[in-house]
Amino acid sequence: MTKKSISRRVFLEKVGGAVAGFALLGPWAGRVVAAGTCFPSGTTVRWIVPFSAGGGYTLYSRILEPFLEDAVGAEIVVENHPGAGGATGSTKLFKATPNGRTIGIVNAGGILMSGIAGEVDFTIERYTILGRVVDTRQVICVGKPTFDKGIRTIEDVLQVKEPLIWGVTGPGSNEFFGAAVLSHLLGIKRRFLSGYPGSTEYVLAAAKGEIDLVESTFSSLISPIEAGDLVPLALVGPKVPEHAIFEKKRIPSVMEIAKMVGANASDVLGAAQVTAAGRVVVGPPGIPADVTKCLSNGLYEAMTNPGLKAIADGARRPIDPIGAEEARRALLEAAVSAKKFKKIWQQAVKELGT
Amino acid sequence: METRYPLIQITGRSLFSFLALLFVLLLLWLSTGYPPRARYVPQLVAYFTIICLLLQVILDSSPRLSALYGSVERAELFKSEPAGENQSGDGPPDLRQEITAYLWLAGLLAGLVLFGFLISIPCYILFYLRTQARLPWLNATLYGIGTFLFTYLLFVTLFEIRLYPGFLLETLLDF
Amino acid sequence: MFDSFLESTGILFLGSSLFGPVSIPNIAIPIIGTLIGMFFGILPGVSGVTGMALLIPFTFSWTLIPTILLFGSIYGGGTYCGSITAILINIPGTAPNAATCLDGYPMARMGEAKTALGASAAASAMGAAFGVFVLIAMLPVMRATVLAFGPAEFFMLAVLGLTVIAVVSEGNLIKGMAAGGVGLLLAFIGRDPVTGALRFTFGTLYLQDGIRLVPLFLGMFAVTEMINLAASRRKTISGREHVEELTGSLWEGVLSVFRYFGLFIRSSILGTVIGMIPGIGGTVASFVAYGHAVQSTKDNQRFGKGDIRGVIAPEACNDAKDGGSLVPVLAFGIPGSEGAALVLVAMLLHGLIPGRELMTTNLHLAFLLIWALFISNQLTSIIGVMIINQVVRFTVIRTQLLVPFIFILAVVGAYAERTAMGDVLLTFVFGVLGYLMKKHAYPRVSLVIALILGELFEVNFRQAMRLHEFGRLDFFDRPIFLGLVLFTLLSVVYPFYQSLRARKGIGVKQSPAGKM
Repeated sequence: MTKKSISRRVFLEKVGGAVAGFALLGPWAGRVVAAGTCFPSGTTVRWIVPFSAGGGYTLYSRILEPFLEDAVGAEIVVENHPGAGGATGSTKLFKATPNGRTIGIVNAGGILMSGIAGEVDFTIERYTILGRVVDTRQVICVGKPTFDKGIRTIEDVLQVKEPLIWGVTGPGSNEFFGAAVLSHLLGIKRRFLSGYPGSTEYVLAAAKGEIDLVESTFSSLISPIEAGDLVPLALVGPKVPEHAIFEKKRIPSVMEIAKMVGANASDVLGAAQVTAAGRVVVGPPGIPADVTKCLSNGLYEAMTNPGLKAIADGARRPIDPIGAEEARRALLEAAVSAKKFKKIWQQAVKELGT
Repeated sequence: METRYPLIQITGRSLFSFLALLFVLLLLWLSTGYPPRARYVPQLVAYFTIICLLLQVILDSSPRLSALYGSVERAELFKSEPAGENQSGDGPPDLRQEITAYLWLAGLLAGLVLFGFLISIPCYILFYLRTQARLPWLNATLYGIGTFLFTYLLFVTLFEIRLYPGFLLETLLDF
Repeated sequence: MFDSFLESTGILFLGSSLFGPVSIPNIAIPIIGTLIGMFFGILPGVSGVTGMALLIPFTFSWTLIPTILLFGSIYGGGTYCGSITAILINIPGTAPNAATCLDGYPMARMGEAKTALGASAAASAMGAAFGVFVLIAMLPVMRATVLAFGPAEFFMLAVLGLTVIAVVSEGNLIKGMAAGGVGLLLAFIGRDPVTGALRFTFGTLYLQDGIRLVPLFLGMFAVTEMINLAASRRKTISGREHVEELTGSLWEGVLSVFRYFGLFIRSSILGTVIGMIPGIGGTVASFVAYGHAVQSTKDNQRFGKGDIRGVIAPEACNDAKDGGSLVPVLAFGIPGSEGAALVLVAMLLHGLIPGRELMTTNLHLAFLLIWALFISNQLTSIIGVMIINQVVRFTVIRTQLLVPFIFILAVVGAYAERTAMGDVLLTFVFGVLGYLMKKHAYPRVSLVIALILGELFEVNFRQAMRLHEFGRLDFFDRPIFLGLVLFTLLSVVYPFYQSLRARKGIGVKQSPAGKM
């Protein structure tokens, strides 16, 4: 399916939808889509996005929308339900009727954090897992001014006498979990400066030299890395991002660093899995098995469509899909690790408050 | 002859200031349970606000002290004030109309919560225009239908925003 | 740089883009984008961001140039329209338009809507042009400017904004300070960004994000005024029943921008600079500009009662900020606002990488984006002027006919932003609170200013102190910070100095709080 034919079809559907909606009235009016594979013809599936319309989750959803509609044979309606760092929408999704007609995309790491903080009474693995769009593997970087002062490699970081300043948003984020647990396991001397509204702000702070270290998803940091404002020091996880920067210079992973300092590499891998838990497509618990199978197969088909990959790559939003079973296993492991390191995380949170 | 103002006179104004003071005291009390760095600035602000509100409660409750202070609070409604309220001489509001306005608002809110947007909005328009604006039934109905169409086409069809269907419909019909 | 500018001009005015078999002149695209942006901007709770998000998949098959032109013009198209509703019916179309309500709506109540709309259109158009010129002029030093602002500077900007409370409350100082204090406390509701602690949320998920601006404005401005209209004997917003009875004129409004040219320039500078800094936002900018207008002008008693300067300042600032907000996008690939984020996404989707590459080899494309923004800002003002005679009719419509529709617009707008019924409830709560504040002479504007600036104030204060503790911040080594301290002190001292002089000059003994 070409980009052109998708967008023309989407356009016609929107115009047709307006006319049909006017003619039929009532919230039951829907657009006509191709004959269903998972649902009867004319079914509408709500796609919940627990974040606002301008962010990455909505973008992934809008890119995925037309491919998924073809694959599952239903009209997908993207709904934004932002609030409480994603908890509002995620809770809505968790409590929705499990008939397969309400699914959505969640921040698995965020739900794990809310779980260990005791702020939500559900955990990621209790959802009906349909697949993972992309993991949120992170990279630890140093700001250019700090780099110029001599902190150029992870070895330099490990050898500092004075703690380095690590900029974070706040305790609810994956990256704070990664920073707190990994710095503890690897023996990195650091002090946190929290309260940054997002990665934009702490990247700027690092570029100014106010702080030294940052950690975030590769897709968030690629522009400042390319601009030279940040220098990557370590990969949080085993996979190397596909980018020329990593082909030019070898950046060690945190597991290799663990071996170097004599820390437990599998513990470090566990912590990395929590931060990389990813953008996962889920439904509420209890969706019938046949509907779950159809939806997860359809999702995988959509995510592995070469047309989708081309658009996503162009938008610098990589798709790295895995199917329902594999995603479920990865999330179970991440949940176990999150519980394991809860105390270390809590200690770091306490530091922020005093 | 100098006017002798009463020492204490409880009015709606003094009650409002008192409620505001209670609210801030509540927030101050809640803040005692937060981590030190999280409560520091809120507590500073709360103390400052409590002092202001205490002073204001006293002034609002005592026309005599208020006159001494030189404030224009004379337990009259709608004195114009620098923040630009109501300087075009509307006069004090009619109490009956004020209560009517509150009731219509409460009715709209109740309708939205129970029956959702697509039912409450046209009904509200229809009945408000019929009873308050005294439009004929036909005109009020047409406005109601028009508002429904506008809301539906714009928000549901074009913006793809799912309007809340209301607690009753959501529970009964499993929306 | 000049070559790139010429190249972009040629592409815009002489070029065309293919959409299947159809070729459309490029100049038509920003016109369409502007209309789309205006449409979204006029509806409360929905903004150009919604429009851009909906259109993204639609543009997958487009080439780069029409995409830049479309998104740049939608981004710029939304800003002015929200001020039309702010002036006429006290509903800010978007949060940054709220400051325009403070004097724009009172002008409509006096029958001077045309003057207010004329001033708004002129200030917007000229402010936008100013912002764009400054943006172009600052291209070489963009990076250094953005990097010069940090927590210390943000904190002082917040303090500067908060000092306005003292001036707008003159005559009711205790109430103003109390309202400001309550506003700050309301700003602390939610998750503390620094420690993650939940404050004043009463155990609800809804309050974890704090008090949202859209329900605040829709409640305190729109709903409050509609309750006021419904409860009063006022027949129409303007008090007149026929359009012919309205006073003021479009040209009076337009010329006023030139009459107060100094204020216009200062407000535009404020808007451009604040727009450049990610993390501050348009709402803060417009209120800071409004506050500056109050503090820097001699006879400021009419502010809040229909002073045209109270329209010029936020409007100029608001539109100048659009140009400024593209700076972090172009220079760093970092969006300073949600709208800018979608412009960035649209660029990335078509392979245009912001940062050094854009500012060197693809500079003509950066200029194309700037052109789109410029055209949309000017076009919205032109269209606004063309429809003035039609839109002012709102101010002579019977209140009983107007009130229910405005209530509906307010509640749907409150819901549309996040599809949360909590926002609708909060709108009602603020509506009633605003009405009671109005009735009991507590200045709403003080609460609103404090609520908007609260987080900026607290978080940056704590971050600045922490950085100082870590030895990363020397307050005396930061010229912008020191400049802001001086400016703030002057802003506080100057109005009181002026009023002291006025009292001595007139020779009338006025009680300190008795400015009635």
